[in-house]
Order: sequence, then C-alpha cells, then structure tokens
Amino acid sequence: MLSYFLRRLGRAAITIVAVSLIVFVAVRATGDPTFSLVAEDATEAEIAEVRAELGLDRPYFVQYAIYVGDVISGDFGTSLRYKQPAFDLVVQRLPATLQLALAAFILSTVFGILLGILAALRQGRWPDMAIRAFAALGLSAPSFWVGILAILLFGVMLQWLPTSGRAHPLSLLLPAMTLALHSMASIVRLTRSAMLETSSAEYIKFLRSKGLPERLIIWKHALRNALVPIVAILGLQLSNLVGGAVIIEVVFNWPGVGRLMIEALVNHDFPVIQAGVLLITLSTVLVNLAIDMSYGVIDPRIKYQ
Amino acid sequence: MRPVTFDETAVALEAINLSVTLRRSRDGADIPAVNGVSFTLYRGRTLGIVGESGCGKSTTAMSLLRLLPRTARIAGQIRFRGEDLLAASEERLRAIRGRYISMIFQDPMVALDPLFTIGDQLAEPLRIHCGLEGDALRARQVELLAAVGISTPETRLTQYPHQMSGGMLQRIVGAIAMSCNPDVLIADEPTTALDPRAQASYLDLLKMFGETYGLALVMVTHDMGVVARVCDDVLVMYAGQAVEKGPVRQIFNAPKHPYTRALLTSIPNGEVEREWLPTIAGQPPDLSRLPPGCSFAPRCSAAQERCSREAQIERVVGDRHRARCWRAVAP
Amino acid sequence: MTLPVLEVSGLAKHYPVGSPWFHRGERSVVRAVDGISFSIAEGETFGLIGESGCGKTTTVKMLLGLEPSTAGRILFQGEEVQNADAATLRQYRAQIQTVFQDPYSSLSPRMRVEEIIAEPLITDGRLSAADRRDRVAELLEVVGLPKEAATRFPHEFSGGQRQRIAIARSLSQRPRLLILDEPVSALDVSIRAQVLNLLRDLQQRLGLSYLLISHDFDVVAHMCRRIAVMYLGRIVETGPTKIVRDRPSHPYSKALFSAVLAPDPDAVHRHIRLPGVPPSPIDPPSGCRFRTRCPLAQPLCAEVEPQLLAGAGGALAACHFTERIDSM
Repeated sequence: MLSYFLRRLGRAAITIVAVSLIVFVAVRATGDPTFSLVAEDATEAEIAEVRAELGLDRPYFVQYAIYVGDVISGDFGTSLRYKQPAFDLVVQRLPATLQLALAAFILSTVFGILLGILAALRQGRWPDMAIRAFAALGLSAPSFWVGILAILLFGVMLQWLPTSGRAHPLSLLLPAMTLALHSMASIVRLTRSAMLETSSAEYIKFLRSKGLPERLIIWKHALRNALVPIVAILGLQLSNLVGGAVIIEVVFNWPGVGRLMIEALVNHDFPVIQAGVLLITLSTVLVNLAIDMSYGVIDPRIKYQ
Repeated sequence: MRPVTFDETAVALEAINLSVTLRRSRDGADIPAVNGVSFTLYRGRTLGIVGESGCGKSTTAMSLLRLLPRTARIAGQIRFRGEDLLAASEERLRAIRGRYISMIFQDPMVALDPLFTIGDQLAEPLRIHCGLEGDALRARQVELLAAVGISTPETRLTQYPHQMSGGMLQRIVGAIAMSCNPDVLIADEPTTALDPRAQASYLDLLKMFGETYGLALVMVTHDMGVVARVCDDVLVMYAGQAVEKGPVRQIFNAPKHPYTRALLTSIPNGEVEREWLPTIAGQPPDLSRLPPGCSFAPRCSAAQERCSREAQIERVVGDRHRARCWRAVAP
Repeated sequence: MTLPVLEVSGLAKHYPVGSPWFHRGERSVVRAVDGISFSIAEGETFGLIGESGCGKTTTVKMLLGLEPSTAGRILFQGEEVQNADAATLRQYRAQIQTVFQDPYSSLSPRMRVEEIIAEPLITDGRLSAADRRDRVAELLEVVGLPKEAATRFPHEFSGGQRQRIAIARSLSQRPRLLILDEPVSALDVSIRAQVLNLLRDLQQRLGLSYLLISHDFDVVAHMCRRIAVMYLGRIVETGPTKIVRDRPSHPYSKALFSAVLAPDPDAVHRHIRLPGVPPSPIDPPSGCRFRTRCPLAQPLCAEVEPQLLAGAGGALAACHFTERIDSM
C-alpha cells in the first residue's frame, strides 16, 4: 500500500515536470513577449536589453534550468503586467476556480448517478428516453453556448439568478450548473450502462432467488458494483471540469485562475501562465491520486501493488 | 443443523402442465421453451432434469420460482403448500424464495457479489426470512459454514469471494441456499464448473442434505454421471418437452424413448479405447420452427411415417415410468 | 522402433513472483511445471490429466512456444525445438496445432469460415489463392461440413459444427500433432460423440498424434491408450490408461479416479477424500509434494522425493509406499 502510494506520487511528479516543460516551451514558441513590453519606437539595443533582463536571450534549456531552480526556491517569477509575484496572483484566484470546479463536480456526480440509475430502472420507458435525450444534448452542446443561453433564461428573462461575478451567494449556481452539464451527461450514460450490466449479472439472479427485496438488490448490490467503473472516470471528469472552467469563467465573468490565464495569454505574461498551469496541474493530480486511493474502499479485489 | 424425520411419500411441490414462452431477443420471435411439462417433487428425493442445451431444463427450473425475464409468459400450475405459485403475488413469492424454495447456480465464481463479504451475503436471508440478529445470527452463520464442510468458518465469514476457490464458493452458495431450511432446493448444473474431485464431494453433500433434512432436490444437469450418482427420479427433456420420466434405474436400465436410449449409448462409458461411439444424427431443432409430430423424429433412427404426422402423448410404460413415444410399450 | 513425434524431458517452468524492487532476500518462484517427461508416438493419443493448477496449461504453452521453458528439452520428431533457428521453429509451430474447449470464443466472429480456415495458410504464404480455396474445400469435407459452409460466419453454426471448423483450421497446415484441450467439454452430449468419432477418424486417416487434456476421465479413457497424472507441476503416475485407472499405484491417482461419476446408478462409489487444501506451488512441500494430503504419508516422504518407478499396479508411479496402495 505505502509502496504503491509512493510510486503513484513519483508518477505524479513526472506528470508535473512534463506539463511545466511543455508549457514553458509553448509560451516561448508562440511569440516573444519583449515586444509587448517595450515602447513602439524602441531601438534594437533597448529591446536586447529588456530581453536580457528577462533572460530570454539564453538557450531554452538554460532558461528552463534557471526557472526550475527558482520554482524550487519558491520563486515563480514576476508578472510582466502587474509587476507582482506570479504565484501570489494565481493563489489569490485559485479558491474561486476550485470552488467552481468542486461545485460542478459534486453537482455532476450526484445528479449524474441519480439520473443514470433512474434511466436504468425505467429502461425503455419514458423517463429513460427523456434522460437519454438530455444526456445526448449535454454531451453535444458547447458549454459557452449553454452558458449564454442560461444567462438569457435565468438571468435576463426570469431574473432568478445573478449572472456575473462572484459577489452574491447564489452567483455560483449558474456557472457551476453550466460547467457540470457535460460531465454529468457522461456520468448519466456510464451509470445507466453500468447499472444495466450489473443487473443482468449472475449474482443478482442469485440474490433474487434468496428472496431479497428489490430495493436492497438495487441500492446495496447493483449500485455498489456499478460504482466501480464510475469512480474510475471521476478523476478524468475533474480534470475536464478544471479545464472547462476557463471558458465558463470568461462567460460568467468569474474571477478565477481561468480568466487570469486568458488575460495573461493575451498579454504574453508568461510567468503567470506558467505558474497558473503548474498550480492547476498540481491540484488535479493530487485529487486524482486521492480518488485512485479510494478504489480499495469500494472494491475489495483491488490490491495496491 | 438437526436431522429431520419426514415421510418419503409427502409431496413437496407439483408442477402441472407447465409451459413457458420466451421472447428471443435476436428477432423477437416467441420461443416455446417449455411445453406442457408435469412432475412431482417428494421430500427427501432427488429429481434429475436432464437434456441438452436449449431443451428447456434450466427454464423449467427457473420458472419454479418465477425467476424468468420480464418478457416470459408462464402457463400451468405450480402447487406448493396448498397454493399455486404462478398465481401468487410478487411479494408472496419473495417470502417463498430463499425461505421455502432456494436455488444453486452453475458458476460459483459469479454467483456471489464480489464487493461484499461471505458473512454479509450469508446474513441476508437469515435476517430477512428468519429475523436473526446479533449473536444468534453469527452462531447460525458459523453453523451453516461448518455444515457445508468449511473448516475455519469464523475467518471465512470476513473474507471476500475472490479469496476462495470455486469448490469452496459453491459450498458457500449451498450454505446460503440451505440457510432457512428450505423444502425444495433447485440446483442448476451445480458441479459443471468444478474439478472432478470437488464435483464428487459436492454431489455427496447435496445428497446428504436431501436425505438428512427431508429436502426435495431438483438437479438440472446434462451429465448422466451426475444423474446416476444422486437422482432417484429422472425427467428427460427434448425440445421443451418431457420425453421420458421415471425412476432412475428404469431410465438407465430400460430406457423407453429412443432419445434417452441414444443419449445413454453415445457417452463414452469408461471402456478403454472403444472404437466408435454411437451418435445421434443432426442437431437439436430450432424451437421457433418445431417439426410437426414428434420433435425428435428427424433425428430418430427408428422413426416411421407416423412419427412426423402425429404429436406424441405420454404413455405409461412401467411403474411411475412414462415415455412420449407411441412405440414405447410397458414391459 | 520409430521416433516419437514428441518427446519431452525434464521440462520445467518457474515464474518469479513479487515485485522486482521491493523484496527481501531471495525472490520466490512459482514452480508451475517442475521437470516432467513424456513422449507421444506416431498416431497415438496421450492423455494428460490433473486438477486446475496442476500445470497442464503451462505445459501446453511451452509446447506451443508461447512460454519459454526454464529447463528441460522438447524434441519434435527427434529435433530440438527450443534452440532451433527461426525456419525450423516456424515449421515446428505449423506442425503442432491446438483445438480449444470453447468453439464460441475461439473463432473470430467477423471472419468467414473460409478465412478462418485459410488464415494460417495466408500467414504461411506458400499456397496461391486458388490452392488455398481448394485446401479449404478439402478440409471442410474432411471434417464433415458442407462446401457452402465456406462463405458463412461462425455464429451461423451450432457448437458442434464450430468445433469442426476449429478442427479444420488446426489441420490446414498438415500438422503432425494436435493438442486437444478439453475438446468436447463445451459440447452437448449428443454432439460429443460425433466430434470424438471425427477425431478418431482423422487420426486413422491422417496418422495424427494427439495430446488430450481433459477433466472428463471417460473421454480420456475412450481416446487414450496411455496417460499421465499431474499434481502440482509433477507427473505422479504414468502408464497404460486401463492400468492407471483400474489399478492405480499412486495415492493421488487413486483419489482422482475414485471421483469418477459412472453413468450407472448401481455403481459402487467409494470417493476417497483428501484432507487439507492443495499446497501453493510457490513453496511446494519438501520431498513428495503430495505428502501433505496423502493418507499413506510417512516421515520418509518429507525427506526424499520419490522418483517414477514401477508401482504396485504396474504403471510408473512416484511414491515410496506404492505397495500399501490397497490400504487406502
């Protein structure tokens, strides 16, 4: 168990290093930020000076080595735009993003599983048809479009919910629901098929022959078995949610890391991009690890080796 | 578990003119899987239902507890303790399943829920049907595991199915089926998935249960060796019909239906290097397109023109011995 | 005397267990097969019996070259197989084919019967397309299927017919030896006889040798003149089927055959129960591996491993106390 945990931790570290390297190269390959910092009529010498100041005149691998050294000592660089430590900027925005992603995660998991079970229990009848149609819609509709539609419906027409910012306690509701939709749809589908599969298993037949009430067979045995594949994709869903949050934050003007990153991208503010991606990767990897470690609680056949 | 005194002529269950129609998922065709089958189960006796795949033997067994797919239609009567199970409510059936009539399935590796302990799964019927809790429940669990020959019951109760061998799991399935002292135990190919030695000892265990606790045992099997070992009476099925039934010795020593005869001679009988085995020509029929007359006629080496013309009825061919063939006669 | 088709001597397969990184001291090994020897003559059927986990499957994998052996030799028609060059190895693999238990899963559902049968020939690449078609037609006839079967798919056939297709495929490269792994266990009783007769007929017509692996002792007795009984990776008894079955010399064979369910309600059963559970092949018992469950075991059995010698019944048995077999 411990050795499994340590090995998973090692693998998580490799993931983080790989992501940081890709982002590091990508931001530099998409354009030189020096030009957005100097005056339009700057001379070659001035440009070279700024570039040297930022360390951009050295080879990539030297730059990366310096960057890694800095990160280890806690220095994530300084934002080119705000002239503040990039780490602080990201950390200030992180709670908002995590709150949004987590709310969407809980919404999609709880409702996804419940609707999936309902569809499986009413297989072929109208609740099943309706839920499957809803899931198909949720999977195919782009989230920015759903977001705009939701703003129009609940914010503008019905005026039930706030549509922008994070000030009101109910502000979270619309962006979280919009973000949850896609992931909920895939959980609905998976739950439905997993429930149908377990309900035709031999042990379910044996349970019926024991005279167990149907509710016990469904909620105790079939559901727990169906949860095994569902838990396996929850980690993936969470990563998707964090990624999807970027767009939702822009649509709903949610002050999270996503919006910060979009701004940073536009401004070539590469220290902020690097710090943001690194911290988001770190949180996703850790949550994934926690989910993987929880398999054993559900399925006794899993041994951590 | 205390031995029970019982009367061997006491009827435990009676199936009268049982017919089952199943919907085939491939093409939605209605399949007459079981067609007018009648039999009686007696306390302490074992009835073997034999036949090849698709003959309706498992469907017959499952219909006794009405554990069939939703699309299945059952007709006839199943008389049990003065009521007709086919007319009983779903709720009433649940009170009977696992309490008075229980089942053992073919593959022990998939018969138990992999995510729950043996103890948990053994406790379920004891709680629901017998209302046992706490120490009494635990004592009964240990007693049951010991009764099926499991040596360290306390440890096994806390273990999961994947930690045990197939032979041991099938014993546990047997313990669950026996937990509420049922009247009838239906075993559907219970030893097919086991090693030969595990098979022999499991059959001995079931036989012992039947004789000691006055259980009426139904043994669904394709294996004539299993029938010879445990059964008192035999029902031979072909294409959804009972083609022959009677006491085991009469079936083996004086089979009256050509299908039973062919079945018995076509198995390797342990003779070393016998050259050729007698075979039954052709394949079992498609149940959705049964031939007119006797269903076995197209494969029967003794078939005559009359066989494919008229449907066969059961004829008395001996004491409690019936065969569905007009050429079968009493000795 | 002619050369045996297959000769196996001292064949062994040990699997290391546990993580290669986190271990203390010596790593343990699973002794799945631990030094077995047997030979199969031209046109002979040799039976290998034993319970799950005795090493039958591993033996088959080694014979097919799917698993490298840890020790021992496999001679095919007198030629060493394991260290052979690629060409010899390819030829060997063509000459030894298998028929598996389940005809439902061993045939690819998306291929037509002719493609299934011709597949080994296509890989082989020596026959032209026209010759391959002829060969498929010939093989279908050999296994008793109509010519029209060629263009149909496996799901259109019954279990017995599928097993015929599997047999036709195994014959396509004109093998010398077929490994029959529970060839009729999944088939219905009335179909079993047909397939067993077909196998016997093919053997006589083509001079094939068979290695038969089965749980069904009646099928084994019907097909094989000689058998070997395996327990925990070793052969404990081998000899003519009739002798091993009717007068076993090894206590394990005796227990095994006592479990046979004769299709006769008047047969006398004296099922010999073995105490305890099968030991793990990771650390097999010292001396005789069967001693932990053997009713005849003595202190000597823990110290000295018995070798295969003429036993009380007449077959070769690995037991120190074979003369006491009748006391079981």
